[in-house]
Amino acid sequence: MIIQSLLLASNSNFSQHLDLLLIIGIAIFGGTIGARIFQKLRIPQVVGYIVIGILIGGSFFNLIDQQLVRSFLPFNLFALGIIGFIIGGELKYELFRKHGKQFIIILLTEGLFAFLIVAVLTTLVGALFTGNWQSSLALGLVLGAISSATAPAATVDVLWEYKTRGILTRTILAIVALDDGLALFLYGFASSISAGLVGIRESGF
Amino acid sequence: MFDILSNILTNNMNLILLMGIAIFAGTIGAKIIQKLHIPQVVGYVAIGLILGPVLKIIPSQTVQNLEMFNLFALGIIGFLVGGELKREIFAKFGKQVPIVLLFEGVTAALLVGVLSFLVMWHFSSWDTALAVGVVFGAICSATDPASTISVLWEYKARGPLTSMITAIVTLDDALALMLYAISVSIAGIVTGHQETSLLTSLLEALYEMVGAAALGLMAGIGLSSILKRIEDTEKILVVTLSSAMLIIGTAILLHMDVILACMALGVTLINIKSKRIESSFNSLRRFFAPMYVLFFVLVGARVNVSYFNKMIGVLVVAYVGGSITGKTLGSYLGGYFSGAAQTVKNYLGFCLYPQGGIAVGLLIVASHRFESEVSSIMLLVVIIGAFILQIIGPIGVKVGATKAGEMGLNVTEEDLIKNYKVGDVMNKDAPAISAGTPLSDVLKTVSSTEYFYYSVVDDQKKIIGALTMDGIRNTFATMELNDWLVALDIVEPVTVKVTPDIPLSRALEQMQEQHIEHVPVVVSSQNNESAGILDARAVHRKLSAEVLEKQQEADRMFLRPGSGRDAARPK
Repeated sequence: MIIQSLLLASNSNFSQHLDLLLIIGIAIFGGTIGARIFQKLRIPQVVGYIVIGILIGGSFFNLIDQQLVRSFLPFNLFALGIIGFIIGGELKYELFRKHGKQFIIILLTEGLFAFLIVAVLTTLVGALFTGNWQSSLALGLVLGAISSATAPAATVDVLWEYKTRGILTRTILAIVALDDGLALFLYGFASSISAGLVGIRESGF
Repeated sequence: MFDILSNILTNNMNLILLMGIAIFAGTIGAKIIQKLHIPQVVGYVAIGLILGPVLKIIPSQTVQNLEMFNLFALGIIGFLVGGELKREIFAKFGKQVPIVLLFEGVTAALLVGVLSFLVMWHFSSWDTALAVGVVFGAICSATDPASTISVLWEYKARGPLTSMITAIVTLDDALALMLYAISVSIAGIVTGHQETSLLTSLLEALYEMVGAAALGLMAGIGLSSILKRIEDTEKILVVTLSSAMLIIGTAILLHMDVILACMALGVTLINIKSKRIESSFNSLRRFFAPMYVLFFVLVGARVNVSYFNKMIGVLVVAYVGGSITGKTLGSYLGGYFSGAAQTVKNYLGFCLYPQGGIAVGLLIVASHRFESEVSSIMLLVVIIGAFILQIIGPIGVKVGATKAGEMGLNVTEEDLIKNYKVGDVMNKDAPAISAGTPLSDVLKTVSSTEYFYYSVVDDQKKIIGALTMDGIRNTFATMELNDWLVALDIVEPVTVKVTPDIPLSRALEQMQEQHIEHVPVVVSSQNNESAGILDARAVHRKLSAEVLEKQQEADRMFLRPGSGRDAARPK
């Protein structure tokens, strides 16, 4: 019955800010329940959050419409900022002095390998379907560059959930923090080449 | 320059930066205001005034857009207020508390309501006047617990008046919320809804309140059963917060009273005895801290100073005057009819003037219901009124508690240690044993007195050492008792000596560092003459006896209804 009234609410012209609180409440509450279920199945809770999001989002119940999601952009930035802050707090100077070289080598290799393999594979698949080598290469380069970034939120949430600690955890945090930078660099490089390949002469994005 | 900043903030919708500025500046403002012994809330609102109407960093448009946040904050405040209504408070004081509460709250509400109605009627239309009267009346009954209780703490008050104040300030927020819900519905019936019949309006009001209470009750039962199954404190916060949001959202959706629903949730939760309830409230309180700052900064930013005129001035006088008179009169009547102690009856009123968070918060809810001009006027009056009451209030608390003779009765041992010198608590009568005393006489002295430590002095009464129980015992164990043994033979060297004029705290610290329980006291640092001994255990015994005595003095006041101020006054 509540779901029904909710559906009614989202269709009727209730002013938007009014049911926003209810929707956030449902999102958090539902997310917690989803996390609980997935935890029982020994799957990280963050998967549960995302599944609940898919359920109440546009694909199924449509409680949250796209515009609402977009209006949450400041919140997303806020959450990512806080995650960045917390990761930063873990990366002490000591750590870099001891393992700095390792981090840089790992960063370059994991980033570049992901970049190269994704780029090659997507170029091949693209060419196979379209037959246009030039635009496929452009697509491959851009997707490859993007693929080298690791999403911090999900990774960090899993580490928190299982309360991990040690050199692997530290390395993961360092790499997660740094590979966005690498991805940005690769993206700048890839996008300018791609633009050249498909014949757009404007700069950047 | 600030205009440019404001443009940047609004154009880019950089809400996060805006909130950051608001919370950060609010915290700094509160810190400054606290130095002047004024509660933090006043600092937040003051910073809001500066950021909003004065510097225009927070544009009023943005404040209007944050309505949802206001509802959220008020819901959480309602929830936390509900969490204060433990069954024990009522059980402890029996019928006195509810009677006093009703009298002080309702008298103040009626007085302020009538006064501000009359003032407003003089300047404006009848129905606006009614609306203002009703809202002001309801919100003035909420006493700000923070400033009242901090004064009581500062002066270590204890006794029936202090207990009654503590109970009343926690409860009258709830009373204000209920008075507000009831009176706004009545005002709605009288003024608005001309197209609907009186009965429909009445039923609507009833639905708003009863529905909200039922919603909160059901959610509370559900939430407490969920909380039982959660161990992790982070998850407790997540579940509590999201339930509160669900309740707020549902109440809005079903057109019920948001604050009442949340309060019902809080009351239900706190009265279902369960392990993790406290943690649930505490984690929410901690999470809510920055939002609380933001909320009150935004309240300040809303105020439209340009509205100030003679009418506002008169309204402020009516509001403040009505609150003070109403609280004083109402408390007296409540005390009279409930048979409370004389001190409670006479002085409770003085202690209930400060107003803060709840009053202003309720006003923000009220502003949804009225035209923007009316709500701007109301906001301005209540904010100025609250400022004045926050300055008068703490003085009233101090005067009331002093007259009731309850100041300084809630001391702890630490407080006493801070105030005493060695000379005040040392044993002056402890006998000093002269060095040549034969052992048999020493034993006679020891058995006829009850000390564990004796100073050994020479002919000029100068200390040369000490006798301890351990020393005497060791003597018995290792030496054969001989008649020719004298005190000098079993004396132990003295490492620490104190003088009567040094602070007790320093002496006790020294003794603790050296792991000794007794030190000899000498007349002065130059004169080594024995003045007595300082026995740590005896000191603690003496101090706790004093603490107990003050507590009993405070507690005796509970047993003497009608005891006047002279009878209750400490010696």
